[in-house]
Amino acid sequence: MTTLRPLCLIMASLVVVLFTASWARASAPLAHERYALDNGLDVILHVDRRLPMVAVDLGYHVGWAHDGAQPGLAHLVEHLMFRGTRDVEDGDHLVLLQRSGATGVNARTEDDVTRYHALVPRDALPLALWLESNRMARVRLTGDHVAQEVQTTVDEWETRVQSELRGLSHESLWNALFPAGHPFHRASPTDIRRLGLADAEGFVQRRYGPANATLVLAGDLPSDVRAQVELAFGARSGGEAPVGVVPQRRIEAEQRIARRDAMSTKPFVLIGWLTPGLFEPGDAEADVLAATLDGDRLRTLADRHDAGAILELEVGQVSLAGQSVFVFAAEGTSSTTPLRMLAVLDAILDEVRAARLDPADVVRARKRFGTDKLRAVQRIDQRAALMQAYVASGRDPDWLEHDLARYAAVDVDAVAAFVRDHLPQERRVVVLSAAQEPS
Amino acid sequence: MIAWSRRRLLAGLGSGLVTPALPLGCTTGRERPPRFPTEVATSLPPIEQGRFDDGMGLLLAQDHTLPLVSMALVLRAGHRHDPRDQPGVARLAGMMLLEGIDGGDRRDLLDRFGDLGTTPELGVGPSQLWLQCTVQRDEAAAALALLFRTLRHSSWAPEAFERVRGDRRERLESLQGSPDAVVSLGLLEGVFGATPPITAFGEGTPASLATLELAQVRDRFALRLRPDAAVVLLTGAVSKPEALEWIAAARDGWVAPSQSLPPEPTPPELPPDDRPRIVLVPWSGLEQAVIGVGGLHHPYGTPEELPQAQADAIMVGLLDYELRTRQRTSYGVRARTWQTQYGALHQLWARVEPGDTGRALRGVREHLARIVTGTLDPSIVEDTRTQALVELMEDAHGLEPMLSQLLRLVAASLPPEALPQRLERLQRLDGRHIEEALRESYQASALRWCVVGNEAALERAVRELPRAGVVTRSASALFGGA
Repeated sequence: MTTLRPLCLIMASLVVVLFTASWARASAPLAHERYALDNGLDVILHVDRRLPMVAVDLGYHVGWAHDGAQPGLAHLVEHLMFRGTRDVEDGDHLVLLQRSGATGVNARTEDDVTRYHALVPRDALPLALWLESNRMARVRLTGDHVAQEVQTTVDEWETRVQSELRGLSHESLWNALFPAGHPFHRASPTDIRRLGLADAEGFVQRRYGPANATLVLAGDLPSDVRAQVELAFGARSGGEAPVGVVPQRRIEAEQRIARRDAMSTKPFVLIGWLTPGLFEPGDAEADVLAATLDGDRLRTLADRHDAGAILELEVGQVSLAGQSVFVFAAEGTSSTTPLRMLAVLDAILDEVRAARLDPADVVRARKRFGTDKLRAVQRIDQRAALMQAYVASGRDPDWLEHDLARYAAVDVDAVAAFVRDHLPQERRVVVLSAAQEPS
Repeated sequence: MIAWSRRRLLAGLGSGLVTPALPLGCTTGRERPPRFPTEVATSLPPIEQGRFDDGMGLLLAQDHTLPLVSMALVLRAGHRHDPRDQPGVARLAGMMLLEGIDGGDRRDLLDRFGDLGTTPELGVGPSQLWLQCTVQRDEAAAALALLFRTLRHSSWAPEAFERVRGDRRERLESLQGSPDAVVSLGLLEGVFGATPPITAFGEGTPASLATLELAQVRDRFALRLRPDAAVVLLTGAVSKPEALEWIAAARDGWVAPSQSLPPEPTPPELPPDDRPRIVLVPWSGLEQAVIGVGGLHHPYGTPEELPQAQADAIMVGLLDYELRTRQRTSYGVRARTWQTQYGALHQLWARVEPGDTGRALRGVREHLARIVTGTLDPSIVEDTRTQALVELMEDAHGLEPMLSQLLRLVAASLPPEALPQRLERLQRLDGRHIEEALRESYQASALRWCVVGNEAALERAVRELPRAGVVTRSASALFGGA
């Protein structure tokens, strides 16, 4: 599930920039065949024989942004899909794959897609396909399993939010940006506990079928891979795409949230803005801005305005379908306060708005993005995941060249315009977290 | 997202302990899984090795699927080379390398790497420090040359040193807000008798950070800054002739001095077994207590390490299964909060409500004892080994993962053949050795405990744990403070 995590994690997932002569080469990593079964299953095959393994990635085109009046449902169902079918005992999905040598058996609920993935030895591909097909059509849902997985997803919420040093600050920011009723509003433990067996059954019935799914196979594919896919999935049917969400929201006035982190010895400030959605105009500018303002440069800028106030500063765009979030996150030194830190952050933003960034820095950021984009397709499982991301946004699985090209026009003026248009002081949410009281 | 880490993937294995044979579950249904060969095909990318006349080493793993090269320049100057009374020297020296070269500052240096489309990264371990980056192939020769300059021509600016030192002190202070970090340090003291335990990670203490001078750090580093203490690691789209050519240019006249390399320090002996068995850390106001258990982990590449790694994987799987089923309701342990950490220590920890600390400790101790004295289903051992085989291949898949494998080999002074040999050893590994390792590592006498919590939590812990070998430490003391 996409979450607003500490920015070091966000940074790792940022989309990157490139416009160099290596575009054509960069495209090769995602070379593929694509076809559909009669039942509508979208199939993408990518061959890479470096490792005698295959990345199996099945994506259903439904995610947490489609939960509507049942917050947490897509994520809950993701858990339930591991709890057995009419043919596979509870827990044996994992056991069978593990016995075959599979790794990375996991699932991920994102805003607009839920992906089930594993890296399996090439000879175990028929088993992996059979298991996915079997649970697509024959998952066994019970009241006990629902109750247990409700508790587990609540546990996950607690681990992510309550037990993380900055978890409550991030959750406060997110839910202020996306208040109750917005499709991106986070499910709370109370929301999750309201979910029941009938909700899960209805969800699976409607959404989990071949006509609402994309299967990506990447790796050391056997020559009869098409036959294997047909054998496993050909007899399945159903799958209805959810109604698309329109997550547009506009903040009209600055909102400040003051809180105290019980466990932290340092003050912490988060600033969030609503920004253009993934792949939309402005999304690339946000990425370039974030890459230009790397932690080190931010620290230098911060020290220029108030030396010793900021210990660490990160910035990043969390790109989502339809609407994204741009975040500044700063940890202060023991001697400072959240308000003093906010003054430093505002001074930095004023500089960027005035287009005082060095054009050479923007160029460097784009070049780093080019390298990073290739780094992100080193492995077959990464390639499968990226192809799923492109497909989920309605694009070609090998959209890499276009993905890179959209950054071509981003220069220092475009970045400054992005800051002026999308990061104004009056349309943001600020979380000011003080450190724990000295004992 | 279900947090199935690799290790947690083994969770389902727990059912093998409860029932002698794992039910396949698919034999009675209307649909049956297909049959397939059970033997896992294995392969590892080849590693080429080279050594220059003056002793500088080269390890190369070619992968031409992307126009990328990953590289690391390793210097055998890690924190085990720190003077005993000056912990933190190697880490500070390493951090100073990124503070500027040729009289320039940090920003200048990062911009030079930025011009090549990359950002340098620094690592400091017990036996070595290293600089690494990944670049597009066209920039690889220039990037390697810049790594060499970064290692050899640091600016050593006093104001940068003060800033780095100040940051380290702030970081240590910040870490003290993490109960998980504190429990790890408590276990380190129990396992190694390390005093203070933070030094086992190569960190300085507040005292050493306050008193170390720039000249001391620089001079200490200079003792080992020589080509015969360096190794170049390359993975990706580069041939061996290219690698040799790039290195020859990047060395830029760097030659080994005539005097021999200082000898490696003798590893400290483990102190006699009067180390604390249980470390209690009072923390008023902590909403959830943290309990940890751990023991000594054999170093990577030693004969004992491979079976122990399998034993750890089995233990984590069994514990996770238990936590997902019985302990959640009967012991009060929050499921899926256990973790392992490899290196010098294997450890597990979990968060519990303070009032549940006693029964959680009792439950976990009893469960560990049951595993150690029980009989493992052979399929668990076999499945764990299969997983390890695949994980080893996966760990070498991709330029940067492969670079990490090369770094690991160099850190352990292992030749490149060690990687395929590890694969072969795994294929031949006798399940009895894994069971022996499990018993040896997790028998009660081999384990140390640490509990971090409020008064109520520690009171319950004391009632539950043996009386002998209990010490109480403040969090700041574990970090080397007063």
